[in-house]
Amino acid sequence: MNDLSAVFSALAAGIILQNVVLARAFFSEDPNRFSRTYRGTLRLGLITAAVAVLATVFAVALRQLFAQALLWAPARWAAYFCCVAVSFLLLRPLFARLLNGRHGVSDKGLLYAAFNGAVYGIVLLSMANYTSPLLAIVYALGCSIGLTAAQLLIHAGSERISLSAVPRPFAGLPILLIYIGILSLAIYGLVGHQLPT
Amino acid sequence: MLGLGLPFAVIASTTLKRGALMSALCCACALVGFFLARLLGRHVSDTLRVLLVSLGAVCAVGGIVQSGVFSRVLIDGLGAYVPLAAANMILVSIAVDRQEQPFSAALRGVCFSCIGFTLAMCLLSVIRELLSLHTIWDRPVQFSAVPISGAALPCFGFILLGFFAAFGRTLGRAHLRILIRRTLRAKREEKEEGIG
Repeated sequence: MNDLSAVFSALAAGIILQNVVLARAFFSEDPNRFSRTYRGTLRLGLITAAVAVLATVFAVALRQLFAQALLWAPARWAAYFCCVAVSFLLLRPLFARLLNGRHGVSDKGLLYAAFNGAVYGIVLLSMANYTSPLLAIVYALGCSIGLTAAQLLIHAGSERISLSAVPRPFAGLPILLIYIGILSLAIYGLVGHQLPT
Repeated sequence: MLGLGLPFAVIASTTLKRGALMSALCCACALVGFFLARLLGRHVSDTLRVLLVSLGAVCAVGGIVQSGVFSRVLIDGLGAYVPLAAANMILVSIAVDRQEQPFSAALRGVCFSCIGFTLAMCLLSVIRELLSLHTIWDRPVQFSAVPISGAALPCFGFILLGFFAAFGRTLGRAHLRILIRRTLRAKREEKEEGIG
């Protein structure tokens, strides 16, 4: 029962806390740059999730094999980064087939969506927060789900904002940033004030 | 404006010291990435170039951290945000997408992006530190308002950045308007002189 609760709390922390409340995933890479449809954004989110989870699996394996070497922070950062790069290269043919130039996603869009700071951040946080391999992977999965949800929220918000009458200086990026801030504040208000920042 | 879309830098820059550190790391990554991308040139594919440039930036961050230029306490306080400075695709795209430009023009562009980013981050972090802690660079300052602890939250950073972006856009528009007015006036004067 305790194990199940630990797995669930890791998943929930990944989905809600890291992404929506701490706004780590918001604006990770503006999905609207690469896809202008919900389906395209969702697919890009799933691709990001797949890379993040596979990279975490590799990172867990690396930590089991080279625990001593990875105590040195720069070596750890480079090793985890290589995990993300290898995962992306392994999954790339699958993504290319899945998207196949549809939803307005270019090759460059795929690269920037699947290989970015958010994915690397998920791997770093999963490995830093959890020593148990299972919990680290579950946490990465939760973060990826939260990331996809955050990207869909941004997509929906920016779509509505683009249809609204926004003062000219605020049109585009400024109003999107304010929207993200208010959204993060609203969910922060629901979760409470005792949060790590 | 491109550099302003860096979420982790916004979230981490709660004090001026942290903002300065994040800016220094981001600028170092952008410059290392730029030189590495130039070195690789067209010999490798776009994907491999991005991967290698990012890996180079990660190594640069590791080198800076190990060099001892910045205090260990400050680096430890930033935690996962330190290596994340290297894996930002906005910085990578600044470094990589300038292959067609001449070297000096491209380097100037990267340097201007870095300076703009540093200024924006420092301004953002000064306001947040002043409002939340009533200090600047860890030194107490006389400030009559009640401390707003929420200024250290990520949401406040995003909202403030949104207002900065709007202000920057207004300034840019005003500058453009002045330039257009000057050009039109010069053309009108030329025309009048021609008629005279």
